[in-house]
Amino acid sequence: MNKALARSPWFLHYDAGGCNGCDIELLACLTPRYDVERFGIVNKGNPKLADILLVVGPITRKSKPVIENLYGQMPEPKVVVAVGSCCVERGIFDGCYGVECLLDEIIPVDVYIPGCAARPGTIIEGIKKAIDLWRAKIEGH
Amino acid sequence: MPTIVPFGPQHPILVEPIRYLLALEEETVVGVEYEIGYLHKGLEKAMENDYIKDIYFAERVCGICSMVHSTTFVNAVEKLAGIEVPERVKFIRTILLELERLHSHMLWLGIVADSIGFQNLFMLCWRDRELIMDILESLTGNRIHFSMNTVGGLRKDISEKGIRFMLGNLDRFALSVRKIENSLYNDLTVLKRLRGVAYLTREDCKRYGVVGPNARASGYSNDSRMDGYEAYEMIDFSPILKAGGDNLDRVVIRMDEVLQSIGLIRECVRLLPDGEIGEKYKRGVEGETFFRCEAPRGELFYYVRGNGSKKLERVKIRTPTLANLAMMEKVMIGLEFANVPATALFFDPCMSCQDR
Ligand code: SF4
Repeated sequence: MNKALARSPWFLHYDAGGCNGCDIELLACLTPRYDVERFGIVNKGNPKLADILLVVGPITRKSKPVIENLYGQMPEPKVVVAVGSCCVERGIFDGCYGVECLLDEIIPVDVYIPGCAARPGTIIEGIKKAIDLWRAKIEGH
Repeated sequence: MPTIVPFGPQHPILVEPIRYLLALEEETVVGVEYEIGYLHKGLEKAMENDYIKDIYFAERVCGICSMVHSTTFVNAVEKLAGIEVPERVKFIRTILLELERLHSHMLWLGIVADSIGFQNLFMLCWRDRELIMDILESLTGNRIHFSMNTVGGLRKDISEKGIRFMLGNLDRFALSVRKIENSLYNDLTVLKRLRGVAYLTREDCKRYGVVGPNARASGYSNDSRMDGYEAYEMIDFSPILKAGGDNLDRVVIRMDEVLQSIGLIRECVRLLPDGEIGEKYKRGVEGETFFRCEAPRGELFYYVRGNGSKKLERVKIRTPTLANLAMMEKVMIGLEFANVPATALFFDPCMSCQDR
């Protein structure tokens, strides 16, 4: 069972309040120049089937319940990745009234990818780490 | 009794969150409501700050069109302060604005191709978009937020080498765009999927205040570039219009605009004068003003009020997505449910600009 699981993790991407820059870089990572799909990861927008959650941006008031909901729907084991400086430590949006909290205040975060905008190279490295972590979690499950 | 189907905020097709509530009779949409504000951080409030710092905020309103946001903002402040920037600055800003339009349109085409199930085209568009990103990176040093603008000029100049690299890449890019156009317009499935869907007349565009390529695809011209800001008054420019008003024409017009932008950039390079790149302006500004620019998605509007100090009193942003969302109801009603996700993307919504 675990062996079958450990093939291709699927990821889910949600923009919780970023400026779109990191979302676009994340999508660019899927495309021929960077191609993270070579690590066996596929972008599926379905939380019930996703193994890795990639979140962009600080958590705004309205995204907080959505993130909690999405995280709750994902099956165990799951890995959470925070993409972009503003997701890691609020970045430029520090002090804005719409920013409710940070990602790691509501759900456990495994990998942090800094940068404003995070560069594709860094994103790929982060995703690779997340995949390895996910495999390790499956072994220990 | 219609069935209510939620669509969003998280959906495989949507890159950014927006929530639609669709009322369906069988497969046809009979009513639609939408909810925005998932990304609202309060940037306008944060921009009641030193106007030099505000440029960073203005860039981070949107990650796709950060250059046009900062250009509109610094133009508004320059208008208040009565600064005339050197010609070289105007041309360089225009080049960067058009490059941004190129990458934004390619990005859009890729995403809508994905939404109608044409994944191959998504990959091709984004592969070719990297040529433009390379240009932007070599000219400005960054891929997303260029940090080129400052009040009174530019923060850095562009080099001869960068320009040569740009022209070479643009040639390659133009070739690939022609190839993409070819495969797109000769694909029967794509044509059938797009032709006549989400039809919008010129009168509707006027009534709902539609802006940008969406309005021009219906033959309604409201291109702010005709105002002649930056270098647009010095180069030969007139907006492209199409009469179809359906999803197919929304693709055609953006592809034509891509080719037009390549021409505009080449013309700017030809006319690019030597000279200074401006000085940093650091005094306070007083009074109120507005400025509008043509973002890749349509008219972008900034209102700025100062009180004599360096701190601004109020900044108001009106983004093209807000103008375009108003007629979502008009186009969605009567659509088949299968066409809803694609149509939602065809109007090129940029939720982070919209909610900021
Ligand atoms: S880290 Fe910067 S580029 Fe990325 S979403 Fe946040 S503000 Fe935008």
